[in-house]
Amino acid sequence: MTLAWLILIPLFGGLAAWLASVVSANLCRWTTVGTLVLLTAQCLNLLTEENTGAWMAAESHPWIPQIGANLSFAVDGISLLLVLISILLSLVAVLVSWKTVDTRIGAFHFNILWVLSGVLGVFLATDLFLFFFAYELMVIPMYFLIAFWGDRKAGAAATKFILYTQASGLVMLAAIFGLYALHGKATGDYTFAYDALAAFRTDHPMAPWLMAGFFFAFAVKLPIFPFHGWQPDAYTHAPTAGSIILAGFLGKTGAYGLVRFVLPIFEQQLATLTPLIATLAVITLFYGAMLAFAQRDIKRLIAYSSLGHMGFVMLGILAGTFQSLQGVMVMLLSHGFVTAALFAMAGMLETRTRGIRDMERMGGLWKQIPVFSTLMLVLVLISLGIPGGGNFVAEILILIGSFGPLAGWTIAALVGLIVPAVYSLWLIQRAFHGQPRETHALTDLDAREKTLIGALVVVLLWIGLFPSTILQTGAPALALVEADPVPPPALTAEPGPLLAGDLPDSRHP
Amino acid sequence: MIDFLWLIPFLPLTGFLILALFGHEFPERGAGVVGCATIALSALVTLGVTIQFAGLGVPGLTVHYGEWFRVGGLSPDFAFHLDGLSLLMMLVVTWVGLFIHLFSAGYMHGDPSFARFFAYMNLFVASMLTLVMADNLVLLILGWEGVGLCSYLLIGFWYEKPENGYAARKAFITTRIGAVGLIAATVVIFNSLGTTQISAVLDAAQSSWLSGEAVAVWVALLLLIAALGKSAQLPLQVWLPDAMAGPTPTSALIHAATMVTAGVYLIARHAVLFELAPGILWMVGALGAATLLIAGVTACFQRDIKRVLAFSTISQIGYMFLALGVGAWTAAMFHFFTHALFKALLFLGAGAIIHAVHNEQDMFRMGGLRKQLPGVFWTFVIGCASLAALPLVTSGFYSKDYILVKTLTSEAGSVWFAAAGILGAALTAFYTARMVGLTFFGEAKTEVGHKPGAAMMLPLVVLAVASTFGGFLETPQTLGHITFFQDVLKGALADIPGPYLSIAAEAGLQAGVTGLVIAAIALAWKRYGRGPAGVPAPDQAGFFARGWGFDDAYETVLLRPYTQLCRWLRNDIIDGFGNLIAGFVQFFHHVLSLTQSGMLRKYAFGLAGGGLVVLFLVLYL
Repeated sequence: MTLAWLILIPLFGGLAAWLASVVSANLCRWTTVGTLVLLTAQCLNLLTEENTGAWMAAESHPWIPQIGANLSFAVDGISLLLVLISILLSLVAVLVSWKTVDTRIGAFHFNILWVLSGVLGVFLATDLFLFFFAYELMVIPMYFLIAFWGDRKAGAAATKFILYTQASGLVMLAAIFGLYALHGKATGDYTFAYDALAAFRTDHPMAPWLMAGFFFAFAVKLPIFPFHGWQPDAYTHAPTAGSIILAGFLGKTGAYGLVRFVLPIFEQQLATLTPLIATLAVITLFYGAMLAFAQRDIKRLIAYSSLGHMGFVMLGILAGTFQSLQGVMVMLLSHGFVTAALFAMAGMLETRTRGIRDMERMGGLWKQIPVFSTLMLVLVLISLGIPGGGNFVAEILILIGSFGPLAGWTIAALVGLIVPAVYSLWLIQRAFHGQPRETHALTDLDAREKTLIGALVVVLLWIGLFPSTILQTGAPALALVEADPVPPPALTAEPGPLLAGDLPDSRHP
Repeated sequence: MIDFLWLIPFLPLTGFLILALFGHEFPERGAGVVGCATIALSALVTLGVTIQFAGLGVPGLTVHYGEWFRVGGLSPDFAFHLDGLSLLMMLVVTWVGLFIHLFSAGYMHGDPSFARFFAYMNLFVASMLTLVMADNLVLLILGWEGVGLCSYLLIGFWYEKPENGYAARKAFITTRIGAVGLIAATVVIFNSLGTTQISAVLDAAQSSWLSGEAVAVWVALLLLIAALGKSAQLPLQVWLPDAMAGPTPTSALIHAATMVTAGVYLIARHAVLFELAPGILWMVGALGAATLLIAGVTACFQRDIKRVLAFSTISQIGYMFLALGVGAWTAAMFHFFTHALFKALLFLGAGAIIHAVHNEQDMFRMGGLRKQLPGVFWTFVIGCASLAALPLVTSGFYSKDYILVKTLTSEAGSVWFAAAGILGAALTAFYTARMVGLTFFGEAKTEVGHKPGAAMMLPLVVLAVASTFGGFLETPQTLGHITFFQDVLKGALADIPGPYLSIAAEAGLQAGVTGLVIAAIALAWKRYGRGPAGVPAPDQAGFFARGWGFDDAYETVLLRPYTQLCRWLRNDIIDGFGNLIAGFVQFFHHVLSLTQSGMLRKYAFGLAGGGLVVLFLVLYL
């Protein structure tokens, strides 16, 4: 039941937090924190499992036997890392909202925990029906978070978000049923089990359409150009906690889906579309950076900057080499932490200036709030890929790994390393350097904020300077995705052959 | 001492961390002590390491400290490589850095951000040491980007002024273009040779790449782009003159002695790869020659003393590139060495002058400072003599002569390269003499405020002595034939060979160049020897003074189109498309809701009309 508990704990925790809010707001907050700490402990337990590339832990409970759907969960290195970052960033989301969210506190924390539960369901489900169920479910509490606790324009942004994701989700549902039917017809075994479907190869004329269905849903969620229409509005108008959740880990379900489903199952079909998608990835990279440069709203700038990074993620996934996939893993983590920290700081600034996000109305803030400005500068630099920060390791791995299969696009992406510097330094100039354009009475970071942002910076430097732990956790599973499209075999099956030559040193060299 | 090698970059890093985290609680003196002491210790360790390394008698050695990351075959380590080349760079960075730090303690006295300044400077030294000690390309990129970052931070140090911020961003983004070249080179090298460890790369390239093969040419070209950006060579030189917005000690350390020569180091370090791409090697020399002439001419038209020195730096690095282009790696490094000494001296001297005349930088508003600042005057003149390459007693003479001889004798050399070098020597002498005349002679135009104290004078004197005697480490056959410098670098660098020029020819070249230099000085002295004749109007900067229109060209071709394009895209075309659908739906919502008027008459009319249409369709189609 270990894995099922990972999903049940936040569900029950959410209810408990809501109930606790009747007693006092702080009890509700502490209940949420307690839930997340419990969850982290549960998750760290999994790290001790043997990590060979096969599932580190798996379990299955009957659900709808008539159609072959089960409540089956499993975890390997890839999902474990994403589960961990989701829990940690939920904690960050709760901590930044400690003093700023004061309406409907019970519902707020309930929604955070239920989003998390849905996201963990997505990362852990090994039944496609269950996967779809969780994929759709996480969107609804997210909708409420944006709509009820966001700014004045949040209603429209939330609607846009739910329309985009529901529409693309329906396309994926069709693709899941298509795959289910093809597999059932071919083998006589009608099942939604991931292991069975992932081992299934078909050249049925419908296969490219099925691939497109999956791809579309994940490309919207990631997002990449031109499927990103919901993203800037949702990131900008959501409350700080909402932006952190969206950019930090909810969007990562798109990347996860591509690595977990599209890469192994539809390798052949993906190959025919590679030039098109690689071009979209490169456009995303430049488009995000250019749009970020053009923004005046600091949150919108961060949103577009985040979009640009997804271009790298897409390129790395598409290249599908061991190095590029490792780069993608590091990017997902590093980008999650850095974007969460940037949104947290933008939120702190917004609170201090009583709702100002327009950088044209800032300027010269360094003198007033030096600690805040310094940390912002550090985060911006890590985000633009200064070595020492996590994004640099991710980018260099993706670029080195992608050059072999996708040389032309990698060269374009290399040129794309220049543009983030432009908007990043322009942000610093407009908000923190120069002379103040308006007078605001600002206070620098307090101890709680300093600790929170400081901890995130330390994590990012740790990823940038000592990424081995992360790389080794993801390596066995990624090596299987890369070396052979056959997915990690189930625990019950014979352990799959490990390609020793392609593997880095194991955890115990 | 080699056991303590890690301390060399680690000490300045510690200084940075202390000052960055707790600097605001330090009194000025405390921050200064932390800033200088870490560099001093690092310099001493470097000296100890050098002595021990010299005793070992090996060409090079590598010290591993741990793994950075390991993915497939890609495994950059935290590892440092020691050989003559890296030790030379380390000695210059730590020792010149130390004296510049000492000078800064006096120069920055009273600045409210004193601790922040030393934090940045310490981080710079740590990054620069990482750059030159790195044993693999990924770690080298860490140092490379680190020094670029510190350069950005220090140029924009006085951030209240928007123009300083502009100069800082310009420097960072221009050198970022170069950094991308370096990252791209790393990507190509790893995909071709399967390693990023520099000595392994050089060996593998020699054994598996043919001379002139596409991959060799591409890698050399990408490395060249990296070097052009960092070392401010044509066509990426535009950022360096603006970088003078930073505090003057910064200009001395980063924009004269060390960081801007990182490109020279990069090419020398990868000399083998450039030998495999002769076309690109020729480009190195040609760009160097063009840069040294263009920047030399521009320097003759400047009024701001720091901008003269900035263009002079670009021009002198042009000499180093010229030497690299003919495969005279040792000569390039020798000129790097002497230039670091005398240009640091000149920048610090300029700093002392600017400090004394209330932050005035326009030479036409100075004049007559010889009597009021005698110490600064004499040390500055010694530096200028080296820059102008006055014969026999200046280090600049020996290094420049070395380069000129090599352009003629090397197999990769040519008469045109030599001609550019000789013409450049005359230009250098001209703008140097002009600078001395305008600043120190004639009538005083500005009152002298605070005179430099001991903290500022000591570094000037030390550097003046060093830039006089530094040249004797390597002298031509006509003048004693000392080959100490060559011998030190022999283990790391192998020059492209060439026949020896005869003693007579060499002496003739030296005499000819010296004659030309003296003529140029005389010409400049005739016009500027009596100080500034009057203050010209400020806005008469012509084509040459503005750096030959490069800035304007980039403005028109790159900056404006980019900002304009971004402005057009601002509202996100894709979002517009999504909103179009929403608008479409909304439109029909309004139109159709009009039909729900609640009036029975209209409903009946609609029903009848619809019925008629259906009837028509059924009957006739």
